[in-house]
Amino acid sequence: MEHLTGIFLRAVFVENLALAYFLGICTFLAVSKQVRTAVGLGTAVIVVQTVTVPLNNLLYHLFIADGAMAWAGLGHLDFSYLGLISYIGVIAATVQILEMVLQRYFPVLFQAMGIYLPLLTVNCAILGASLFIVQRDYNFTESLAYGVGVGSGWAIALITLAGLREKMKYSDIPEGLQGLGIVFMTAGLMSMAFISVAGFEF
Amino acid sequence: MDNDSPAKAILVVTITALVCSVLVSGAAVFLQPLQQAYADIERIRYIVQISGLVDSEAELSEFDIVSAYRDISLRLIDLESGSFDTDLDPQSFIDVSIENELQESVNIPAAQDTAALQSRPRWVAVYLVESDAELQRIIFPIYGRGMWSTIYGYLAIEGDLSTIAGVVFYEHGETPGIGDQIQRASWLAGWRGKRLYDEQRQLQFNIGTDSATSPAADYRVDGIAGATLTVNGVANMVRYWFGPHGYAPFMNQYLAELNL
Amino acid sequence: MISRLPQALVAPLIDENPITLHILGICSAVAITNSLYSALVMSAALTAVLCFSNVVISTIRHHLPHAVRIIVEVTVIASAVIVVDEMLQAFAPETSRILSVFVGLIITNCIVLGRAENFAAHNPAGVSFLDAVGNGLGFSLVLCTVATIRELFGTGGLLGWQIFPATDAGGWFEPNSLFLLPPSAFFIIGGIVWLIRSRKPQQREKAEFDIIASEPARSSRWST
Repeated sequence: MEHLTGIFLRAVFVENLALAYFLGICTFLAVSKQVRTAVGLGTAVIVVQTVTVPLNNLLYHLFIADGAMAWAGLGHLDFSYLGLISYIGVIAATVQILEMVLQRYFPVLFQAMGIYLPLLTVNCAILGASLFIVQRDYNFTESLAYGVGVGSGWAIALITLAGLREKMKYSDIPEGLQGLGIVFMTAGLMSMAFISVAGFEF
Repeated sequence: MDNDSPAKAILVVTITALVCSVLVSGAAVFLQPLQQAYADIERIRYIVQISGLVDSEAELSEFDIVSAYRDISLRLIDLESGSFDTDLDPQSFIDVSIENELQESVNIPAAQDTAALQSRPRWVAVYLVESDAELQRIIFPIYGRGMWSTIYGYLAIEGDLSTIAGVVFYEHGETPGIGDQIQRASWLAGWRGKRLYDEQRQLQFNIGTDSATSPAADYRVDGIAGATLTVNGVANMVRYWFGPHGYAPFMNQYLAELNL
Repeated sequence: MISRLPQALVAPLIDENPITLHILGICSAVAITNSLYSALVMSAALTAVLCFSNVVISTIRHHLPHAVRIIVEVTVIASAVIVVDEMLQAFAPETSRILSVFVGLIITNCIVLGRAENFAAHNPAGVSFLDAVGNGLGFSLVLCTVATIRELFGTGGLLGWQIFPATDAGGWFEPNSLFLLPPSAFFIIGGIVWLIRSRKPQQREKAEFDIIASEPARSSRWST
């Protein structure tokens, strides 16, 4: 259990996908103008990560890893080169299905966050999380903890940045730094803050 | 055919899928032998580097590596019985990261799991360097959790099964410029001659500079300033693998055999 | 001489640099900019994928049904990335290990899909190829600049050569480890954006609110 908590906390703070690995920065910068929209996208990311990371873990261990298909008598086959395209396929399908389910059964929720879902198919952070669990060879429960962790971490970073940007709306920023420039500087400071947690033993 | 008809959509998708899969599979199959050979050479290079058969600091050509490797024997040890296993083929066990149907996974009790591995394999492939039927060195694979990633390495031990002859870390995902200093030749050279066990075969080895709790100089390697967490990971993994749940039972048994 | 090169090739370098103007494509690459060699390999990989996907999608653009357009584009890009990844593993295994997951992330790199969707789907193959090379170079320019600064101040060396002699080898340069950590990349890119926009006012974003100069304080209880 501590091990899983450790994975979760590390994924949120020290290995934050947006602030330590720069994944999903495009949407990160575009949507962080308002806290409300940030909360919407953040929730969508947490849901998609929690679903796709364990799914891709299963896919990896049952089909793609070297020798994984031993359960079907095909243990000599190595499909690891099909990994990338399989994961992106799973992610695209998950996002599509999630969108349809929301639209049909949870229309209020769909109104709140449905517009962000198509953006997530090509969000580096979603694919990145799946690639990391494959590289580190996590098992199912570890990847579940990791999926929730990275989603939450990305959402926390996004909402925090949105809050900061709302506060900075009234600041007198030099013209060349307006917009993109100051957001990067702020994100850099946030990144330092999140990494400073690295010294803790989880 | 009209671009928006379903038939056209299916046709385009099918053709794309076929062409792409041929392209991708072709590349994978064609390049696989090259990738495998390179991976093999890299692994053998690390073994040879710490085997004592070549100058560990020198630039080795592929010929040097392959010919030195001929004098190294690959053996399989069964950690459950603490002795060599002669039934299974060691070749299938050499890569710890590849799933092997024959391998058994043994859970590590939390109290002993200093390297944060959760489980370890039952059979491990080790490398023996012998000359005139006398054991010169034995090379063990070691791995464990660092700060960011799993660190993999090999540790070579002298024929007395206690003195460190050499060590190499060949894979890790630690912070470049900080954690990756564990691969620095000058630091690794400091491991040579240090001892793992004392006279009573108790594990004394540790890494660190805190003089209050650290062992005597014979059993201690200096830490790396600024890379504490990574270095702690390395210390923990060495202490796990050469502790009672790792290779120690095998080493004690083998030492008894050698001294007979 | 520069002005005579095709517009598609030159524009993405500074005027329409995909990273600094369109906020595209940095996601999957900045994490490896602590080494110039990794940045160069990553730039080459991305440019190769971009050229391949732009040319292929441009060639089949008249036959792409609307419903499956995006998924076909993603499939073509993913296939190109897998081939590049396999080749890196076969011919440069050490680098492949350092770049690890980030080569795979080229699939989701905004530049590749962005140019495929916005340019290659509507333009002939020739100019799409030039557009790909131009954007690839623009991306490489920013990435390699960041990597040069980070590696130089973080380790004192570049590409294996020690340029500033380090203190633990008897020199005067104390490597600044912050440059090897992620926050530095954010600051450096922010600085580059600031530099470009100070020289090219047309790229600046408008402020959301105008700051009006405040009126001088009226006499109050605290004034003398």
